[in-house]
Amino acid sequence: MPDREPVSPLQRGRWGPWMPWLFLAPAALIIFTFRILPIVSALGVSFFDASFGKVRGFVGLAQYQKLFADPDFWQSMGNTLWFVAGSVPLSVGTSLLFAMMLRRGVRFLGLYRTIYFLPVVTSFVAVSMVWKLIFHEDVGLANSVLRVFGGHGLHWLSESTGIFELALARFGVDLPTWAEGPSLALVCVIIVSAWRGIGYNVVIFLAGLQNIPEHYYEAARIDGAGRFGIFRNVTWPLLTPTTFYVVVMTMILSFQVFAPIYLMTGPPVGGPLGTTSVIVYYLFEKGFDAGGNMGYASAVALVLFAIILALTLFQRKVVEKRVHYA
Amino acid sequence: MKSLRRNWAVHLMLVVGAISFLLPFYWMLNTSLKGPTELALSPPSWWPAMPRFENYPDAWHAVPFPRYFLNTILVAGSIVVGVVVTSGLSAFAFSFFRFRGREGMFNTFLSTMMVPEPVYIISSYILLFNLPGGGRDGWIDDYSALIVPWLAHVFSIFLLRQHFLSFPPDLVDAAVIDGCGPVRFLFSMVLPLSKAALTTVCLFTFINTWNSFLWPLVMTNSDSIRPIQVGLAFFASEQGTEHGLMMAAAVFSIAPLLIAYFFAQKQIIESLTHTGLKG
Amino acid sequence: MKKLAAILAVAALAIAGCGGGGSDSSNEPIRFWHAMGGPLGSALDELVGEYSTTHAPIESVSMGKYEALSQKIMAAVAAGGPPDLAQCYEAWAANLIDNGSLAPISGFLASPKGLSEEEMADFWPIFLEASTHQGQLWTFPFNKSVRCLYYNKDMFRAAGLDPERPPRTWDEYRDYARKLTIDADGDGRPEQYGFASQITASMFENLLVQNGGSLLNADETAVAFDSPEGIEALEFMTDLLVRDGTSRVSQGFEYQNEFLGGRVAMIEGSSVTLAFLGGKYTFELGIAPLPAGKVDAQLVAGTDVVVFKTSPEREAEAWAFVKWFTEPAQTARWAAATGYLPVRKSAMTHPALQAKMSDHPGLREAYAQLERAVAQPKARGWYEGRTILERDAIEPVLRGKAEPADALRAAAAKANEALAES
Repeated sequence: MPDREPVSPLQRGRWGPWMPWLFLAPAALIIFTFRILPIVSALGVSFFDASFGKVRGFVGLAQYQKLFADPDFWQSMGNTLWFVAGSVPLSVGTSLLFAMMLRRGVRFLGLYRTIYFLPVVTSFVAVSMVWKLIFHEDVGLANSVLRVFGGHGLHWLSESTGIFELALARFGVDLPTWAEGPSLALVCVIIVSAWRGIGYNVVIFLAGLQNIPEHYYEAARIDGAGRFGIFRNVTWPLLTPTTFYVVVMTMILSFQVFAPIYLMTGPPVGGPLGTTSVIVYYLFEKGFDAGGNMGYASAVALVLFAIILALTLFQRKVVEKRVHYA
Repeated sequence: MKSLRRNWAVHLMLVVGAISFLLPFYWMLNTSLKGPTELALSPPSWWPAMPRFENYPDAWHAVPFPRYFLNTILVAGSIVVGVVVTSGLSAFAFSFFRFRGREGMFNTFLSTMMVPEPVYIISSYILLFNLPGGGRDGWIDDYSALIVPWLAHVFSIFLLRQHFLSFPPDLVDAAVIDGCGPVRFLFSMVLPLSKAALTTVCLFTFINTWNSFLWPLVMTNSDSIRPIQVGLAFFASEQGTEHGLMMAAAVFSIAPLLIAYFFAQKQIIESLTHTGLKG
Repeated sequence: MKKLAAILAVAALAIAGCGGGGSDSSNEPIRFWHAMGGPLGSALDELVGEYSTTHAPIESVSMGKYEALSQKIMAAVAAGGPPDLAQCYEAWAANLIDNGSLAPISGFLASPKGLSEEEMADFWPIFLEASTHQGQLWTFPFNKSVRCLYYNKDMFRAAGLDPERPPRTWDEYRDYARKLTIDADGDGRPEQYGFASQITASMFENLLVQNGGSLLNADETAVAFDSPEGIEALEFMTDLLVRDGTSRVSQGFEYQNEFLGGRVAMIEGSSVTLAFLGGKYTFELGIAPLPAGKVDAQLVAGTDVVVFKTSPEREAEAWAFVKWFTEPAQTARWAAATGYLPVRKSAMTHPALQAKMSDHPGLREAYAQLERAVAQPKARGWYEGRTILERDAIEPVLRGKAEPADALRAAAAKANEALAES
């Protein structure tokens, strides 16, 4: 980050020393009151029995013990990890592919970019609603396409069976429960979530590709490198900072997925059989549902925070150092 | 010859991609014009045989959509103005002043960006409930809960500061020699030179507010306050079986942004992906 | 570590603890939170609007769904500022009573603006029983319903069944579903299904009581749904919905759509379902009581209304609305507009209800189920227990992931834990 000595002549006069604080005051007031205070108190509340809202007393780490003992929490956590593991490669891989194709000076680049970006400006609520309809078992587009090709139609959003199990079942293989993989319902949400974010990543990849100086490519071509060789030896290494940025941002956003889960799954939300319940929905349910336990939900919030903080620090410290100057 | 064929493959994939991004929008439109009989068809029809345009007014009047729109415009408008003012002022302070605690303050601001919304939403609810003023529930179910906490935006401060730091040092010197005070300098020099950056801030603030969902879902109870996304979600869950009305509502709820996008796509794309360009 | 926690806790308490009840707002309208949407919401708003102009202003706020209502009530109670009135399930009430959030209805009844003994005798006893917790009336019947069967008379005729003689026993239920299923092209995807339902504990609960079982034991300390009667009930439900291949299991309320669209011959719904079907079907609609099991019994569904503790004046105002709303004329109009049951017997003779019952003759019999009705459990942990029953037993069984007996036993163990904890 370019840092330059600030200019001080503006601060002359009686008001000089106070001047910057006056300018800072409005933003600082809002940020301290509505960000920092709630963040700090979330940590505080999680050490209390705030069951049903009334703060009854200090319970130390009891909320965390209860949380870690709840199989539903682990199911939500597992689903979230599947969600991240599915949506990150899907979104990043597809957008990299599209960006690579668009970069080569194709015709209508602007038009393609406009179309790919369209879902990004569309709200998740509307997006989820139409996709829920597309995945409708009976009158949905997805099944009608499958049936045109002679398929049987799938249960999509109401399919709780894992996709690996579904894929292998027709070969007579029966996987143990732990190896079934994410439910088809969760995979539907993964697809929708990736679909909405691809355009964003394409634009970022395009910018990253544009920053690779042309002479590297020329040098590689003179050396007789093939298409794949150029990708492997020029594009991929020089694009690494962008790729890492996109991967980490997509991961962080995926850990927070809520709207498409809330709008596409169930009822009850998180169904079928809890296979689409993710960590933020679990938090929402525990914090605001009947028996609403805000201390408990705050503990969930802090677990989520720990994960995202770790990812952010990983990006800032490790990745930036290694990748930029590799 | 070989490259020509490959070009065809590339084009084909790009077109398939474009279709898969457009198809759900077409499906939304298609379904929004179907009547009950057509909606029950399996397989569904690719275009409405007997377009039922009444779905639009029916959906519009089924729940107070006009009110939801008004609420959203009010909330998003206030936040845009607020964010521009607070970010402009504080980025100015961070860029052009030298003072003790400047780096500490800036880093504190930045560190809040690492904390995602779900982490602080429960404690924010409790805080807003207990703030004086507003309705009977403190600020809950009041415009203030939707607006005030979002009146400052750290990333906008960061963005404007980056932009201000790119000004040549001579600019300040010249201004001071001309007898410019800080306020006049900000308004007559800095802001006019930052139109592009300010547009970026306005656009992403507006779009993000328009599309935000979890926060207003938790913080509102009544139709008179509810913004469009929450209203639409409630409509979808209440009328879960009326696909035609649901899609009509989805269409008119995304229309304003899509129309804006149609006219200012370059600025909007740049604005929303600005973070990316910073690596 | 502990010191840090203490500091953070103080910060948290400073935020959480200083919440006032906002008791100086006595001139604001009474706030009524409910979950009535669509046609039910319009019907309620009409009555509320009438009360607001003729008596005192009521602010009606719809949360759309019961889940959302419960979330909002819990959040508001947690933060210290509940509404004045809210719809409330039996099992939510226990929590609200325990934490001192409610003003008992018994208190209002005894006051000069209460109800006489004669008037109280006009309420269906089952409703008052459902509203009684620990010997006191804490809630008041508001929108109560019973489950009934909706069927397509045209399809009955086409299948050679008497449209005026709906299935009356469990065996007939399956038999009719089989006869009403048509798979002309034999692709295993019937063009017409005999029956459709979403996955819900409600259907099982009724089958259970019809089979002589009960949800909880007599003193409501443990669940009893894993009894042999319960297992048999779930076996029957699985036969009807899954094994026979004559039914569609849909997501949410989609099955109503399929019924309206003429792809399903029979569905179960509450008496209120009629409001959602209203005017959208193109066939002759039949309404009937549920086919009976060993016992001719029914669970009462729907919610009560509760008055939250605020200030004596506001509480009295809130009660005045409840009293007005449950008067024979209003409850009859409410019932006629929505399909909910009139809470008072004398309302049955009201012209509005009479007209509705002559439009749908089956309703009279459906309403008569009230005579044999059973109240929902009131145990505090039942709200969670019911969720466990639905998620850990009904859903896995209907999705073919578990067998009824195993699933019910496992769910019972988990639900008992929830009951013991609460």
